Amino acid sequence: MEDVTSQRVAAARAVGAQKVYGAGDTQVHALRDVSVEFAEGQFSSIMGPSGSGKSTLMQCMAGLDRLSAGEAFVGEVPLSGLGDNALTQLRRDKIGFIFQAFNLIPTLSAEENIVLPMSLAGRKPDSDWLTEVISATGLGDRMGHRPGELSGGQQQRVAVARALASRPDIIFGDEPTGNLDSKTGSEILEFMRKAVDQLGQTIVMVTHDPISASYSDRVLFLADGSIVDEMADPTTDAVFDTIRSLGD
Amino acid sequence: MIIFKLVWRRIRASLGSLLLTLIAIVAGVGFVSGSFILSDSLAATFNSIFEDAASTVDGQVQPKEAEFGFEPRTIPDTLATELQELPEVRKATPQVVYSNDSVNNFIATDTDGQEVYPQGSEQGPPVLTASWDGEEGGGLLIADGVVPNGIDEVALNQGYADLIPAAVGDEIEFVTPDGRKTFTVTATVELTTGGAAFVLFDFESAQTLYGKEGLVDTVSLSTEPGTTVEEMLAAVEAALPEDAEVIDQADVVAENVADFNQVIGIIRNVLLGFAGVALFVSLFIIYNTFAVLITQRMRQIGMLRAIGATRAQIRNSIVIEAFAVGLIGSIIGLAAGFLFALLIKAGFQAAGGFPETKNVLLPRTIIAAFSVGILAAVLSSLLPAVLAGRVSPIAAMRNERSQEGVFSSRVVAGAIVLVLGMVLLGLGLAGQSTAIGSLGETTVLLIELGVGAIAIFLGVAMLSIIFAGPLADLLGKGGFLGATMLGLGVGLLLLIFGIGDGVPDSVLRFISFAFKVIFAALGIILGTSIIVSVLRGGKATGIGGSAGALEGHLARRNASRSPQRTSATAMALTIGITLVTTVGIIGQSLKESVSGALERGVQADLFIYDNSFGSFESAVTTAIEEVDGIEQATGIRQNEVKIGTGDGGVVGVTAYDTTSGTDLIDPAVDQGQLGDVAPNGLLVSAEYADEQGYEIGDVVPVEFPNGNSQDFTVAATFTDTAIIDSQLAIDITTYDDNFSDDKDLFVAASLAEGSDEDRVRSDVEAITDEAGTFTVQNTGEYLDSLSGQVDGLTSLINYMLGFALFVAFIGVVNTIVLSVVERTREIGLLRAVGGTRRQIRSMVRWESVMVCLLGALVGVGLGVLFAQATVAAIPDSFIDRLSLPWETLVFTLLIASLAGMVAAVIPAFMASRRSPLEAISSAE
Repeated sequence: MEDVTSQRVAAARAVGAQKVYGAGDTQVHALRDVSVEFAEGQFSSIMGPSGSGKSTLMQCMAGLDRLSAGEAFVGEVPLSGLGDNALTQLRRDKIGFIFQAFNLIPTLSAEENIVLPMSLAGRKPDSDWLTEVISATGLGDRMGHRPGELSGGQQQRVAVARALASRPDIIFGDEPTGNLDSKTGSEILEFMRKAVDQLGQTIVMVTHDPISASYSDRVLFLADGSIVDEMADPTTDAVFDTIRSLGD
Repeated sequence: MIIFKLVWRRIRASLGSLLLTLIAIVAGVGFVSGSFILSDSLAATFNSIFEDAASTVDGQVQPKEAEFGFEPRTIPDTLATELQELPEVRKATPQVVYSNDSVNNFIATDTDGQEVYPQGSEQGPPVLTASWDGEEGGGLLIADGVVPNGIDEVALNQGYADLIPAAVGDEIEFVTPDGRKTFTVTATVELTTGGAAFVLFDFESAQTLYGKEGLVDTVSLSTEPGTTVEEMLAAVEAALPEDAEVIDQADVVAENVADFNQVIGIIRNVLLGFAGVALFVSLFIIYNTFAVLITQRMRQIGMLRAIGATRAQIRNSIVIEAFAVGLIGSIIGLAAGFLFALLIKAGFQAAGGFPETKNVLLPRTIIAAFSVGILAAVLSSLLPAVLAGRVSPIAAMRNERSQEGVFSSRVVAGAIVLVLGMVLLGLGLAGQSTAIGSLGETTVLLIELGVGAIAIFLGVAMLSIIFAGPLADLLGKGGFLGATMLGLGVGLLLLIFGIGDGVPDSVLRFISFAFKVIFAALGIILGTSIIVSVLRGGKATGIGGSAGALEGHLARRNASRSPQRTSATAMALTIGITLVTTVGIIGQSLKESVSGALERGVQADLFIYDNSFGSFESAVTTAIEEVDGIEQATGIRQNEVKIGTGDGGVVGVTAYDTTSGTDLIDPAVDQGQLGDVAPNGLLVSAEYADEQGYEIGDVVPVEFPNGNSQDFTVAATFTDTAIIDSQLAIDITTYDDNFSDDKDLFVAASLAEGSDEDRVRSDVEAITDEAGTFTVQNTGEYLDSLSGQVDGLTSLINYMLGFALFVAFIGVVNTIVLSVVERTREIGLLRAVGGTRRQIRSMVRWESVMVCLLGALVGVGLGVLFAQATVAAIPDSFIDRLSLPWETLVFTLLIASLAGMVAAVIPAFMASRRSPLEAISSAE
């Protein structure tokens, strides 16, 4: 297995991450001692069956949820030491999110949605960067439209642009193509690819779709709360094979 | 700034869901501002009328107020002549009025000899009479004719003259205190009268007609040119006898206005009280709306949190939204209040009894409207806002909506508030209070009672999340009728045979009653579960069941699945129902207490009193006594005396013919002999005698308003304070000797054995018709008329509460609409799998009915509790029994079910219009 992390600085990492829900007999171990690094400028996928802990891992590393034990870092900042406000600020400034259900504010225009994280911080967006991001979406003429006036693919492109807009250290995606047909889904994935290759962004995406995973540089496989396999430069077929072998 | 933008866009987008909330705020604010505008306008109008009237006057001489007692005071008319001689005085005009406490003394009759009242009713504006020297000004102008000058001449205000109808030169018969007399109308005048009629005589004739020869009531003064008003007033002051005083123009207006302002103040406070109730109801509705909106926006809030909105930003956005809704509601509410005031005035004016008024909008009204509206909205959004701040960012990635998780803390808080309320109410009922700071003991007591009641209410409302779900479920399961009957039955049994009724202490009584209510509630639940288990095998009946298995079941589940919302909606309704029930029970208890108490003490057969409840010449009483078939008759009077030599205090005294024994009035003599009261004995209430340590035979010095003092002997004590509602009573001849007026308030007469009541009555009526406007009643009619007064009062209160109920009704519609919107997807699913529109409508309707019934049941329960507490707190001399108006209570529950049906009409329609596809594909 090629070590893809050693040459690069980690944008985010987890060390001995554990997450336990409930107590006693009903205790569920969602994560068992997971250690992982996501390098800067890389597009990673996390895969695994339902209940494997892939969403939990992402949520805990993104500062949306807290680990029961172990530590998650964004850059060199350990998340467990942060209070709610500091964590919120970290999410706002250093992390971008792409949701499965787009989650745009229906009452704001596309552009207003894109700059929302900066607006919440009370900051002016970097206009050169913003122009670049908006032109990358290919939706330059539709920026004044409300989400309701855009197609699903267009809405998700706006959502990706929102994640990019604050130039975060890392972007987390939660099944970003889960609500889209395969054609628009691949458009989004190409857009995300472009963000990594041309804009130098770092993306971590949770997915269950081998085709989606093939767009990334690296795939992590989770099962039962542990990392069970890892693959660099994945192809659709190779991912399929691995999943099949995990199922056995 | 993005927060403001978000909020503003959100409000614009969700105006539909906020519309009913807005109506709730508008209603509350409208009621508050309307009350202020109406009362301010009235006050301004009366002020300007009296300012007009006093505009030609620089000052007024009047008798000094008596220290106590109700003696009409006058000054000799020679004083006016003396004052006229002063060089500083341009004109000293003497004036007499008929009497200070009585109206309708000189009433014109039409060609048929019938009295003519403004608006055609004695209850309308009064007919007033005064002396007039013919001077114009101060809003008074001669319309036609010349100033009356002679004992058979009269001037009328134009409105009254038109009503009679009478023109200058006509001879019109008047009903006067001395019987019917004919006067020639010499003038009609324009006068700002506020709907009242004016009958004016020249000064000397007025003195004669009013029985005030040689006397004046007031002398109005104007200043000689070249002299200042201050100099004139000082000169007059120096010339006055000891028992007269002079006041300046501002004081003249202030004194005239004072009574009106007091009445207006009372009206305003009563209106504001009801407005407060409506606002309290609105709080629940606003809270509900925001709680639901936040559940609906859970995902959006989660997303905002994920991409970097802080808790504070989320909280603030909700509060700002509430602030904006409150602001908009206040603006519309203020306008609505203005409209409300205009409408009420238009109503009065259409009835003819209202002067042309200005519309006064004081800054205070605007401030009150905005602070009330905004405060209500912001306050009731606080809890939802805090909950919104706690929404986890992960919520953005979930599809289902999670429940709010404050269940246990709310239950604990509710229990604490409930206990606190019971302690406060208990303390208040026990009369335990101490003055705190500048607050007097009574104020603290009232605060204890009021805050206690509100706290109990809030406690029950908070705790209702425990029982709202199961109770709604039970109600739906069909046991409603059975449960209600069983529960009420158990409650009734407990009331009748309950422990603690003999306990004199009101706190214990209250506590024992609280237990009984709890048992009654248990009875309801127990009864329901029994019925349910019986029915479980067979077909379910009752509300949920009768709607058909599927929709009944779903409605029940819906009502019980979100207990917080169900309870908040039901509680909005509960407030109104609680108050209606409380008022109804107190009213009923008061009625039964009054008639029950009087039935024993009232021995007379006929009762005669002036329609304006004013006093009348005792000649009327004497004449009635002479009527063939009347065995005995006595006038009844009331006044005040001062006990002891120095600080004995002023107490009320009743006078009647004590030598009539107990044939007319039976005061329930406890100790001593009633026969010993005349001539110089006192009949003392047992309570007062106890308090003062009086024994039979004690000598008590009594001072009268005219300054005379006399020693009285305590002759007897009495216990029936319902029939004699003062601490002291004396014989009527003793009264005649010591008070200067000899007017009666009331005549009680008994029929001779074997005499024909109808004939005697018509003879008595012949006398009273001659003497003025009187009511003659037999015992039954008299007691009925007292009940009628209580009924009138309770129905007036209920009208006002109806408004709060209306707001609560809006709240029910609001909740059902919100819950339909929230369940769009679910309803779509039901439609998709084959639910008919009818079934969907029926489901929504039954949920609404369950919520309403729940609110009404809790309301009736609390109402009974509060009424019992109130009755326990009120002295027995006033209300001595608890009487439940069963029909009203059952009726309330029926109406509540009906209201539930009506409230669901629109939401049910909305729900049934959802197309299955649209509903399923709707994301948010």
